[in-house]
Amino acid sequence: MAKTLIKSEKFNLWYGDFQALIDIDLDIPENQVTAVVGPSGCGKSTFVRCINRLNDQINTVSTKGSIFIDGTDIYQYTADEVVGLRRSVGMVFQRPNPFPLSVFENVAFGLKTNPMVPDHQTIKKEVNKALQAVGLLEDLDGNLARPGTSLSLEQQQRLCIARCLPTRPKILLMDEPCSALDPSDTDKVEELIRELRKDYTVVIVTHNLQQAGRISDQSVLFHLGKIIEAAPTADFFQNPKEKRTRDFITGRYG
Amino acid sequence: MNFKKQNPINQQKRATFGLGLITAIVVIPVLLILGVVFVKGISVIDWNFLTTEPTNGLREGGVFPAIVGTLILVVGAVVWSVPFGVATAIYLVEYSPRSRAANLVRLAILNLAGVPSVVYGLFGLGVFVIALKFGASILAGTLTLALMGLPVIVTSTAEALKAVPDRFREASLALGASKWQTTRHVVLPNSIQGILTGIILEISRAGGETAPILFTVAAFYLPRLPQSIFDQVMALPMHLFAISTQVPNIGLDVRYAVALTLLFLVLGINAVAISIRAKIRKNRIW
Repeated sequence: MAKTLIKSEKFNLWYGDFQALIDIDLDIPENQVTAVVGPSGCGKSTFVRCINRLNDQINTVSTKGSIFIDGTDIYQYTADEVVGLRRSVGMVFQRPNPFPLSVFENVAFGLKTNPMVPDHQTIKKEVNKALQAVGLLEDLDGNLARPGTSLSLEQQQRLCIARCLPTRPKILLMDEPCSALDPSDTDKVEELIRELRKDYTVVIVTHNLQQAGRISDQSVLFHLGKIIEAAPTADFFQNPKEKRTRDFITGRYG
Repeated sequence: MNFKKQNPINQQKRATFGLGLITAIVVIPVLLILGVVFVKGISVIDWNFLTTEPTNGLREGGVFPAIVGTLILVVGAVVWSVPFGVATAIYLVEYSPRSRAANLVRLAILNLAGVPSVVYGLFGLGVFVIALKFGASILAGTLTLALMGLPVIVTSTAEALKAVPDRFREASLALGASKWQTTRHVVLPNSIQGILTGIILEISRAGGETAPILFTVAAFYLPRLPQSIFDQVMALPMHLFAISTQVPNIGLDVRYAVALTLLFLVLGINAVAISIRAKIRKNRIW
């Protein structure tokens, strides 16, 4: 069993009076892909957005419990430390959201907003490396001055993945990264995610069970704010312990 | 079952005609104003009129000091109100969107927009001219105009900031940018058009107002250019008011010429702002 990188302990979250996450206990192993599945509104996106504390943005959110990364509780962090946390945890969103800037500026954004801004040569190197990692450098023939928004949706999504890489995160969070893409584009992004596992711990929310089966090492089922089952993906699909998991993967609900 | 007969095609035709007619009723007076001012005033306007000082108690000469004065007042009003207005809007939208204090500020700004301009003039007289001892001066006048323009700048900037999609903010924050970096590098560059719209509205208003400058800066007759921000200036709206009501025996065509000059001046400044906005719009890439 791989080392646990992210550990959630009795984590609860409320939007105002509504409790969206209830006593979440979960271990996420390092350098593996963990897929979070479940019906709409089950709390899977909410949970993933807790790992980089992006939910702090919403005024009505309150939390109880802990999420540990590498043994430290990120919910004990000060506001300054949260900013640092977000540099070590990249996030890719449902809808590709490159900034209305050039491809180069998109990927350089994380470095340029760092407290320590590297010199231009270093930025250039890191940008090239990140684009290389997602296969965009070849696709664009090195033309990084193009507006990020002029790329195809699939390329935009790969750009958004590349944008996370220069700050050297350990963790990549992906919130339904393929839901805006067509099947052949989805293939390309999935292949990329499988490759990224070598260097990153990936947590991916998906509404697509086949996708969870194809790309993940561990699968987690959320339902009404609780975890129903978390298991290695092969067991999860072939030999689920919970009746609700069986119902969900056979399409009886969700 | 009962049916009621109707004729959708005819209704459509009547609606098109009705809406077009109402639009024409709205547009015609605007064109008439422009047309009348132009036809009656253009004969007086020549190079001499635009570039010389008034003489003989405003009865002869040109309007050069008033043109310069109005330009200074417009630029001054924009220079004061834009930094304060934009900063306030950023605070309201990005930093404290739902706090009680923000609601109070919002309410105050809405009320500010409803205050008649002569009240601003009196406020400027009381606070800037007398209490702060600026005297009737460019400083006092531009501050008064800026105060009057603030609600427009704040409101239009706030709307522009709100129009920036949250997915850009989230992406920036998720990359470890601070709130200020997100505002500065992601939100502001994408709302510059809306901010310019507010500035354009303020230019038109600041250029045309008489009441706020009446007690705070405008000179009745001052045939020279100002030397510092503590000088008074002439201004086109004030000049128009003066020659229309205070000085007898000035031809109607001269008054129209002053009005036409003011119109051209404001349109000219606006044209610059609008072309900047159009250029930004063309380069925008989201």
